[in-house]
Amino acid sequence: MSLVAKGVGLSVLAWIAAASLGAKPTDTSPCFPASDASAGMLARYQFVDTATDKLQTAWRQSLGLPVIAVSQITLVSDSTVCRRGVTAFNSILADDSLAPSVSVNVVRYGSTRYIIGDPAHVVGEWKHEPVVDTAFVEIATAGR
Amino acid sequence: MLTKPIGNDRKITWPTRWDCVRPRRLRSSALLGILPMLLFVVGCTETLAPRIHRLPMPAPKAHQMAALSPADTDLSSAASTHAGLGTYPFPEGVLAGVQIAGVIHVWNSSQASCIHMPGNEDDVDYGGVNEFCGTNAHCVWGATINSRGVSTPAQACPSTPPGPYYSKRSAWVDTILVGGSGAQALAEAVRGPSSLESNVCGSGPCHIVSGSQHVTLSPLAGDLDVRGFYSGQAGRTVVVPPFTHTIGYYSIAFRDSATPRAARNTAMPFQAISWAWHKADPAAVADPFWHSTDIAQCPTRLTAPLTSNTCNLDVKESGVLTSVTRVNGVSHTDSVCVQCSVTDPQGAIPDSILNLQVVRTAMMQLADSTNGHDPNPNLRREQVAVVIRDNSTGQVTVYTQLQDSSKQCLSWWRPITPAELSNTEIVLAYIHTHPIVAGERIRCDATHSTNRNPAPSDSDIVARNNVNSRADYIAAGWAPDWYVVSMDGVFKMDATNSRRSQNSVAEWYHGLCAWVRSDDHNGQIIRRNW
Repeated sequence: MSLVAKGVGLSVLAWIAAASLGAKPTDTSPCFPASDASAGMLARYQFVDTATDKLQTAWRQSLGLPVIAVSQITLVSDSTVCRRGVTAFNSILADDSLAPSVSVNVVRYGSTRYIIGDPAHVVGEWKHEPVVDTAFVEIATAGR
Repeated sequence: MLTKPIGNDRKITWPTRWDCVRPRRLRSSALLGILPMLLFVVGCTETLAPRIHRLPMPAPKAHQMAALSPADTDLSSAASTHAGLGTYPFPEGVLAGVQIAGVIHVWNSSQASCIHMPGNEDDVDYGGVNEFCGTNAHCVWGATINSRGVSTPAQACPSTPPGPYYSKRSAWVDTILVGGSGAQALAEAVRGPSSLESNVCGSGPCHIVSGSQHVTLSPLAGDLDVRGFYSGQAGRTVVVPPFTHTIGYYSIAFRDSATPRAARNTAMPFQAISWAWHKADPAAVADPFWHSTDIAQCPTRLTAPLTSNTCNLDVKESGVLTSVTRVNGVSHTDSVCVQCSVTDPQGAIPDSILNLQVVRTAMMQLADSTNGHDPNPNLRREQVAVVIRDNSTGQVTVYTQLQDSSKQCLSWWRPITPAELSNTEIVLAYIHTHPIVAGERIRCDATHSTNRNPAPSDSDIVARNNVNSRADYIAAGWAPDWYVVSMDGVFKMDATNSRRSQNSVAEWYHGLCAWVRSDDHNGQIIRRNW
């Protein structure tokens, strides 16, 4: 392994570690506290709601996400919702064979959808984020 | 794409022989093949790097000169002989180099009086002899090339009284136009008439002419050069703004020209045979008001003696204009591609990298290589490429298959460092693929299937930041752009890694601005050969 590869590789891993470990609460709350990762996740889905680009529209529609007022897309801090999110997240993504998450970020997307994410849950280069309905049944899973 | 160190599970076929010598500086020409083994080969000769070969691309038209076959014949000294050189049934003619070489021998009886030669015999060149019988001058035994209703050289006999009445030059050479319609198509060498003097002088002939001359006709090599002219551009690639309902077409002048334009003040003959317009996306839906490009606007009239033929075409979608034109008797095909410009989504200025034809071609090639439409997702592979410019020459080169290995959901590769290039070279951009269609549900190996965003992933943002913020990049002033190519579009990551990177900047397979596969010869694409 070259020094170049080591430098880049380690820095990527370090970033992931910082995003996950650094954000993990000590009281194992099911909701991650606000962080760059949760802000980025929220911004991503707010963006796809407002984007008119054909490819972004195709992605949004494939996730079963309707166009709504962007103000209706918010981060959830309700531990009850997050706890259900943790359960659904670990169940839906069991095939990924990663360590179960104890905390998640949950984005409320209007009145019919939640999007659940854990910044440490990365497959290849993709973060897997299930889109679920209000019963926490998977509609689709976003890769971003 | 996640930049990762190379692990032990990598499967790379290593060179079987390592002849390491003193360390040396690596050039970009050798860089491609050695990237995956950078640490190991810094002390090895470049010749040990895996071979590099260029993908087949259209050869530069400038080197497609072609000529009709040359012809030659021996022209007998017998008066009024005709020796064929060929038929050139082209109304515009064929420009050819011609030569009449050698001399014939003329012997005159002592009783003959019309031919004036010292010693009554001598050698005579193509000009023949100017004979005088009384006051009548008459040119005899000259050699000419007849075609197109014209005999050349026009004035064969060299002189009038007091002489000399002939010459003995070794050869005549010129460039002439031959061929034409009907009987004018034939080119032949012709011997002039015999002497007007009586055939018999005393008991023998008045004159005996012997020998022959060698006549050659060599059509000149030519080529077709088609260029597109639009808004200050003149080339094989013309970039126009995107087509919209408001501005449904752009008038582009396509000009046929011969190369070379002329020889010895005679225009190179050419005749447009056909024009054709090929849409980049044949299924592109035309604007209901403007409709599609109509190639009937392009004329194929006889152009001689003009030196060019222009088609002013209202182009209504991206595509390729192809001209079939006969240049000096040989049919040539040349083309110009019309592309839509791409504007930087962050700056509203043309994207200087995406508007390079070589980059677009490389991106389409990467999209092919990534196998992103394969129904088995595990047969898809991310592809990585780098765009390098040599500032000393302006040459832009795209190196593809930069990755050491890859899967359909990530790739392992190493950024190129300033130390690996010469001080005139700079990395302009990194490109990698996401082998997915927007909204497609797909799984990576046995993991949960996802509807993946075709745009840059969060990991891409991390990788970009890590590479572009390297100290050596900053010291060298390198700030490469990053592009992500999915199966239906290309995304440019913006300088601040904001979510605007998710905007697609081109939808290149379909529509009125579909990208055209073509090479403009201003750059090259090099693929690492495993």
